[in-house]
Amino acid sequence: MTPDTFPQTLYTAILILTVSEFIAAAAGKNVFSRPLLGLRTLACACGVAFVWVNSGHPPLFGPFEALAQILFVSGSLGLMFSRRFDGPALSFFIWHSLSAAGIVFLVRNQPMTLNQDYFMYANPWVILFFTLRLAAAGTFVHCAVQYLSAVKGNTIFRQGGRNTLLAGACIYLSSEWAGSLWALNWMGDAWHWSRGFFKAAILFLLIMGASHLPARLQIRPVARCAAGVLPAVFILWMIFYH
Amino acid sequence: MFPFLSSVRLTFYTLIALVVILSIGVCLGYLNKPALDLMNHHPLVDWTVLAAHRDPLVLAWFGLLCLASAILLINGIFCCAGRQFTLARHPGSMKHKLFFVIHLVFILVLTCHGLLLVIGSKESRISLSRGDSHRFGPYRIEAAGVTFADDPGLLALPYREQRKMMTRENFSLIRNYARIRLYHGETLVADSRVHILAPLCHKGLRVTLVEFAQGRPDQSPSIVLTLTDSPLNMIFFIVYALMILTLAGFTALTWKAT
Repeated sequence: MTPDTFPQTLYTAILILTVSEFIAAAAGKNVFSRPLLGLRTLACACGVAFVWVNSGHPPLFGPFEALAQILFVSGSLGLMFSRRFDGPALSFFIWHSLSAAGIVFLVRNQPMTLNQDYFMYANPWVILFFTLRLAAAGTFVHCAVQYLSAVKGNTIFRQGGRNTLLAGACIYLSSEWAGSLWALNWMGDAWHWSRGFFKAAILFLLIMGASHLPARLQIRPVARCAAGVLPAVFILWMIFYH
Repeated sequence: MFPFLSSVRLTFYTLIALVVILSIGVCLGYLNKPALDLMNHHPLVDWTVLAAHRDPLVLAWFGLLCLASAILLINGIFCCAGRQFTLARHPGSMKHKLFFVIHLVFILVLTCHGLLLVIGSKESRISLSRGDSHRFGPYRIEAAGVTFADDPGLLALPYREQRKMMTRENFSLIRNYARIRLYHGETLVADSRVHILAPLCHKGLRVTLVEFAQGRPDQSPSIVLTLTDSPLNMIFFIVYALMILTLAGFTALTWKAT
């Protein structure tokens, strides 16, 4: 295996582990789900380390780098969250593996390579903007999984989803703060009238919306779930289709 | 009236309205990018006069955006002034105090963001060669020197090729710079190097080096500058950081074990 073939090999490994995790969860074999989630997360950690070693910076964007970082963060959060489960939590592992499968499917036809280098990557604010955005995406994916798992009324997931949404908001806003500083230093303005800035603002508004549901929507599990899942869906669309 | 203006329902529906308006903005970015570019190259007050003739639909969209943002701001102020302030005044309720502070700081961020768009002046895409100068309000900016230590052939490449070739190895942020002299009237107030991503700052003025460009034949590369004068940038970033820290503190304080 060479550095050129490693990303594609890793992608295949992540795909196999994700599918195995889903099969184990769907078959009710919860005892295998968490170890498989652990192996998948470890594979993604290898991907993140590969990017660091070969490019000198953390994952920034692009199908391979984004896949590795997002699934590493969401997998790590999933492992931490699931260690306190007293009983089976099949829906959690089913949704976790499905969300990972969705992301793996999103990049299925895209080249698994490192991004081309660019002189801007010598600036720390640029690095922070991109890498924190991926970390936020991973956090929102985990948040979405918790909200989906909470639809059937399990409060452990509902509270977890709320915690993760706020934590994800902090990470995302930190990314945007670094990005605004980058824009100020490069273009002379912290705000730019462009599609990218509008999308970033929309994501922040979606997070606010999920935190400000009116009472008659708060009592409906499906409405809460939809509000909690939207930030994840939107940020994944921003990252993979922007 | 007070209960309605401070209600979560108004917050929620205003947020939805803003999402819809900004989504229209995204579509505008695909369908009419020059109209948005015009907004970036002129101060907003000047742009509204231009847009009234050239892009009235974009002007109408911008008006809706301002209206929805104003409603959100008013809603935030009434929320803070009402129940949140009452709860925050109770002794010992750190959670309520932080909740109040987050919303207060958000109001400051939103206000700063709005003021940044209208206060100050801006001129973009100013091309200068070595020895050229340009007037900006009471200031005169002189390009005393342009140092391009890397291969000037990079600047002649088409955009896509340039993007591929300008790696950290091929283009240095440190080695390539412009020497800028800044005059206020006839008095020299600053004389320093300006790099890409490292502008010259003097009070509220920023001289930002956007890019290098091919110079006149047999001359060193020219520089493209953006000049902005706004006293609010530092304040905006401080309150923005404060908002993030307050939110992080609130999240930690109210993190219920699952």
